Amino acid sequence: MKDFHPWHGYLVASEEDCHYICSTWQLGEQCVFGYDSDYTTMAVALIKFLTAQEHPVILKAIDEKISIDVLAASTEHEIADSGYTLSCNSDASLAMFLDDAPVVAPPAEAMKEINPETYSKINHAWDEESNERNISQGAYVSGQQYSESLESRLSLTAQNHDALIWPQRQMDADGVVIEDNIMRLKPTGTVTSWTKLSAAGAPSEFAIRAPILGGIATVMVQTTDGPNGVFLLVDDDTTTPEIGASVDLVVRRLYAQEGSIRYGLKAILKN
Amino acid sequence: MLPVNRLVMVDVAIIGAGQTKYGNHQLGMKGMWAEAAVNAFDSVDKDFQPNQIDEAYIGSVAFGGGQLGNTAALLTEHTGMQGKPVRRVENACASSGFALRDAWMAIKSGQADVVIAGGIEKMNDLTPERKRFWLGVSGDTEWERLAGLTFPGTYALMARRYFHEFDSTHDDLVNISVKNHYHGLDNEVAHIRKDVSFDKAKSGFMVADPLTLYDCCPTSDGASCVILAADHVVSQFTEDPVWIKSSAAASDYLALHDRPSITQLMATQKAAKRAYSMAGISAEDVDIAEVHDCFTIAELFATEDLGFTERGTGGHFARENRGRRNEGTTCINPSGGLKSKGHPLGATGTGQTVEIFKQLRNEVESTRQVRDANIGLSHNVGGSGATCSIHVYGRDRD
Repeated sequence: MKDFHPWHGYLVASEEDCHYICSTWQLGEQCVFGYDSDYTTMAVALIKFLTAQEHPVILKAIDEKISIDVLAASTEHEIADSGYTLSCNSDASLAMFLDDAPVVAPPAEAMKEINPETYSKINHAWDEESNERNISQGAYVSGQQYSESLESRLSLTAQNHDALIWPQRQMDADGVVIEDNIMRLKPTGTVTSWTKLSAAGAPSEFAIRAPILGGIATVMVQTTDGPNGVFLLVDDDTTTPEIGASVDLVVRRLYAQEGSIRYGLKAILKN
Repeated sequence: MLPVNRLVMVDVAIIGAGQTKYGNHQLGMKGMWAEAAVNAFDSVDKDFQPNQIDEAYIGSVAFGGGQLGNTAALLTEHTGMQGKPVRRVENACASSGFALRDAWMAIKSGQADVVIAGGIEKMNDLTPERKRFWLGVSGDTEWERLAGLTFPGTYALMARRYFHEFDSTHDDLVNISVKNHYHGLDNEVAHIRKDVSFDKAKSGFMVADPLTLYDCCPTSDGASCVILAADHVVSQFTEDPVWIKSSAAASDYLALHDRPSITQLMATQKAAKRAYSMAGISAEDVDIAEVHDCFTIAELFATEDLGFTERGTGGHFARENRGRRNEGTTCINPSGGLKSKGHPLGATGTGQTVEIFKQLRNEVESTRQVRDANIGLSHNVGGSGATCSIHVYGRDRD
């Protein structure tokens, strides 16, 4: 595998029976996750890459490090007795293959060196945040509420009711019940406004990580299909958004609560 | 069943109003409420006893969770109102604006003659993390909060979009901040009483780009209380009432992303239209307005949404100092607004009414009295505009 393609903030290499995705970050010679990525977010990105190529994805085995719920809510794939194995590697990469796991090295020339101190602090922060004993001081979104809207959150499932409605709602402005006429919005859009909150101004869910990152950036996006949404920037990046900039909406970690990671869409600026 | 003409004809007046100083208060909730209530009782020109009150509506977010349930029962039992029908009203930062509206409706309906509307919030006795939690509970928890937004963030999104769509820059917001600090300088109940220069306000610490610390109101402790009376009992208490000429309210989508536009507050526009119509006035008739400047961009929006200037010209209104005391046609936030006077969430709405009551009766500090004010307006917004109440007040009953 030689040809790597940038995709949703990662690097993807793909052949007929074997597909590979890795982080773009390295620490020394080790490929490592960015600030809000993990195996689940990369698995979602890899399957979305393949479905974008109209390559059907049938899985027979999924590594236990990957959240099956998030994968199901985010991607179009089938589960069957025969098909791909989705397997995590020891570094920040994973492969999807039919027979044998490929031996692939991340392309050194495309990798970016991560700040070791920030990387260490962020990992420590995620560990602390993910600990069941860590009680979030943030606004409480229960596990049930999070699950109820998971597909809408991760796949932009909208209601087709004269106009497209996202996030989904029960009735329209005239009090008419909205039927479940569901379609998925394209995960692309344009920045209509943005802000960067200081650590002191950020919600308390982000209280541990925001000071390390120097705040958090949020963009308001009008999706290509019309509905608007607000999203964090991928990796709480240091890049400055602009009104009118194009973005892709990709699955990333948002925060942790009650011992589990909460995932959602974040915006990644197109070059 | 009351006769129909009684239901529609009764007029409502304010006969007394009082509040605590806003800021870092030494007293707890019960003490603060008692101070505000006693100040209101004492402000009534003739003899007044709390047992003359028929109903009480107290606005509070119950910030900190100290007394979430039965807040009003607890507070009123400490101010001589045991046994009265009381309740807490919650609509985020517009809680007591809606408490005032509910009190007004209670009298309008003929079910009560003397009603208390008040508000309270104790915000500064919490750890920073608990405070940040409670500051975020009134936004859209599921979609905005998980995208990292608190209210500084939502208003920052609105401000940046406004600058993009209209002829305005952050300097216009700086002018609003400077004006409100100037107005609040001599207000003895204001939280932040200091003269702030343009250069200082312009170079403040960035809270949520493009909004700096000088664009954001403080978190304040405070309580406020006004006493309303039906027209047929007003003369028992005063010969100098302030009449509530109209009460109107509206709501909007909670989350910004559901609104057609984020450079205006539709709830304000809808409520203002009703309020002016009911009072039989237009925006040009308003002499003083206490508007909800939780962030400076919110005041800029309010000047447009309330009709004091055309849409898209709020920046011009600010940079030309048209809201400054005794300079423009309408004095905006003579108290110093939320920016200087402070913002104890649940107390803010009726706190605005206290200011209007005193301004219209020429009872504020002489250095900050607005000249010849006859018509006042208060504008109280919940969160980023999901709820809004507006009241118009006049010296004359008709």
